[in-house]
Amino acid sequence: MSFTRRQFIQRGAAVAVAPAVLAAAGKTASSHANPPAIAITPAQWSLIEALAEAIVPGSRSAGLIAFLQRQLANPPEQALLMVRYLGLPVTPIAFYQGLAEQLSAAQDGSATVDAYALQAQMATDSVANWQGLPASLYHFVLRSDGCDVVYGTPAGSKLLGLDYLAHIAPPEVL
Amino acid sequence: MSTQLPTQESCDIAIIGSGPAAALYAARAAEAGRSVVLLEAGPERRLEQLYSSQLWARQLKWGGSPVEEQGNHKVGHVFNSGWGSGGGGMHHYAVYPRLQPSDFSVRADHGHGLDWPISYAQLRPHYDRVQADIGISGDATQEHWRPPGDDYPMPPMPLFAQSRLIATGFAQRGMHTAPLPLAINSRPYKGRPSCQFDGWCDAGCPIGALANPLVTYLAAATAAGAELRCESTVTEVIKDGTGHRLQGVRYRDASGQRQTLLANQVVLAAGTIENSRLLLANQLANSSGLVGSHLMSHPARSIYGLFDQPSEPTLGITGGQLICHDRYHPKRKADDQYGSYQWLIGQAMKPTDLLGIANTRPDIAGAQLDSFMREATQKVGNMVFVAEDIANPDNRVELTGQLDQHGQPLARAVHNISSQTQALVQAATQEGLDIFRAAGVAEPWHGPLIGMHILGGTPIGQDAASSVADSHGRSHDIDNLWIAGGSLFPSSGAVNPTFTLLALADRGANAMLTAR
Ligand SMILES: Cc1cc2nc3c(=O)[nH]c(=O)nc-3n(C[C@H](O)[C@H](O)[C@H](O)COP(=O)(O)OP(=O)(O)OC[C@H]3O[C@@H](n4cnc5c(N)ncnc54)[C@H](O)[C@@H]3O)c2cc1C
Ligand code: SF4
Repeated sequence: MSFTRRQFIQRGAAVAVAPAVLAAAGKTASSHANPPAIAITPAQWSLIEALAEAIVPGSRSAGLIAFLQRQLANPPEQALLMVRYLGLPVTPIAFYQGLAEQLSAAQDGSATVDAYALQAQMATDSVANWQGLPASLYHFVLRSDGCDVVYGTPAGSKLLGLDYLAHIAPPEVL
Repeated sequence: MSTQLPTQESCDIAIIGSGPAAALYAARAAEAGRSVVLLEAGPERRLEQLYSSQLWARQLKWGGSPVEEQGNHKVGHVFNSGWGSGGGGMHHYAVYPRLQPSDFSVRADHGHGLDWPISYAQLRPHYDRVQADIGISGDATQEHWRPPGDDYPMPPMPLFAQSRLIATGFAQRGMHTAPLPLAINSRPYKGRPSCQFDGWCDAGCPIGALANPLVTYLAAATAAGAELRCESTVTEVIKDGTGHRLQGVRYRDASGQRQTLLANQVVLAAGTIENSRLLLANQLANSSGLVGSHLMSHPARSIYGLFDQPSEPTLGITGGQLICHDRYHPKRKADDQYGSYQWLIGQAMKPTDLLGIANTRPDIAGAQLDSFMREATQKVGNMVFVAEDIANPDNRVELTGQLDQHGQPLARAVHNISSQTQALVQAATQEGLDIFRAAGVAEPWHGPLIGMHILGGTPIGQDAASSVADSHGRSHDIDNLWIAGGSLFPSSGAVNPTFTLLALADRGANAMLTAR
């Protein structure tokens, strides 16, 4: 298997983000502060949804955006999102707001976005004028959240033909 | 504003944290008739809340003050740390190999890192006692590298297809595998049931087949009268006038109120980073200047491959099914390579999550993703090497200029691996790919190098000049301060650390209970 993308894998999965970039992205000293209002517009949510659907087909109908909105309304330490798990010292809200801003900028006033082409550029950090956290990190996190809603639930297991075998069935998250 | 005065209670033993090490101290002390209070920063965990779900599993991870991370090999504090009753023991996989005798003398033998002030032989009875307490399944005869120790109380776990397939690759290369030693029941043990091999261990084992603290030492401690206070974050340690003893601790309770708990003995078992952070913030136990130093994390990397037959990858135990220590010795493998490593083979994987099947190939997106998921959830196999880290004084926990919501300084964890370790992990990666090829995988691949387990920062040693605590974990500077957990390790070895830190805690608790 040829891995020209190995660098991306290294960067995406390990928490290899320069502290200065994190500071710029809205560092928090307290993980217990009440989450502030989410400054993401409906149009930006649509962009995130389209991007996620291009990365993980099925994430739109599985309800990814509603899942993200619900999780972002939780205190950070209770969020079931990949961004919390990676331990990036940005709040989940700051992380997704950063993505929304970069997607708006990438759209650059045009009516449509080629989401599949954009995700491919994000995966290789080749989006022109991308600012803040690396595009490949956003790609990794959004892909993980998308996979969670499509494949990470009892319904997702069924889709894959797997027995879920729960000791205790999880509460619905979608 | 509340007019209530802060309460000033007292107990024999105040324990900071409620992870595996804290729980063992609490059990031994409460069973000896001492009054014990455990103060745990995170929420209460209950078995009935351990939902079988990789999403919900994330709630078990660190939720306290953020830790800034720097270096070429970050320690991954959130991933690697627990939060709430049981600490990291609630999401740990219960892989319980022992350190090798050679791990105790790496400085004397190889000029690297720090030596332990005790030998394997001195720790062995404590390994054996812990093993009998909590139950370990395995096959000591098959582990021909295993140092002396009592036989495992339970037979090994059954093997699922991926491990049988991968084992053929080891055999082809003349390498030996043995059943993985696990603190998981292969048959009922001390009232706890057998494992059901469903692979949900990462989300916490609600049936108690896996020896998490809630069903082992924490249960024993509370049964013997210890009190567990959750959402109680210790912020200060109170010194007496002499500076050589503590009077107790101060903590914030669930409502944010400042409380004082006086104690005859204080056990600091708040996890590796927090142990150093609390000592540094309180300017305590640091006459050596070594608090925070020699931070370590095992470099680890997974190898993956698709077999041409079903591999049952979602079944078994999250920690794996087989182990290989053929590369533990010699530690100096080449002029430019130093360190031991072990292979852990056949981890049960769920479809998603950081260690899940989808993220083994984060480069696959779009229409190809679904076909990959359908194939890989039937045919993927995986194993991981866990390599030795060299204790280096420059790798350290230090305080940043920022404060958390309690006004306490935040921690920064700086961790780099040496060129000799980097060469070691490159060689191990290549070996792993070759093993998979030998097992019949056409195109194996590997994941990123990650930090597994966090160790060091308060190393034990012979004297106050060269270490923070003595061989029992007792502070050289403060007579009634006992440090516990992986922060005590002077060297990392290349094995999962919880069995060893429990053995150390058993030794420390014995000493504390007989101390004046
Ligand atoms: C995914 C995963 C799998 C693992 N699998 C294995 C394995 O198979 N085998 C193995 O040997 N090890 C494994 N480990 C490592 C294992 O979890 C740790 O070695 C172990 O939990 C350390 O125990 P401890 O008691 O020292 O500290 P911890 O378990 O870290 O507990 C410390 C506790 O202290 C609390 N605390 C922190 N600060 C404060 C404060 N200021 N006041 C009050 N309380 C505080 C924390 O909330 C926490 O609950 C795994 C870890 C992870 C993340
Ligand atoms: S696989 Fe076994 S140890 Fe893991 S959660 Fe299920 S019963 Fe518990």
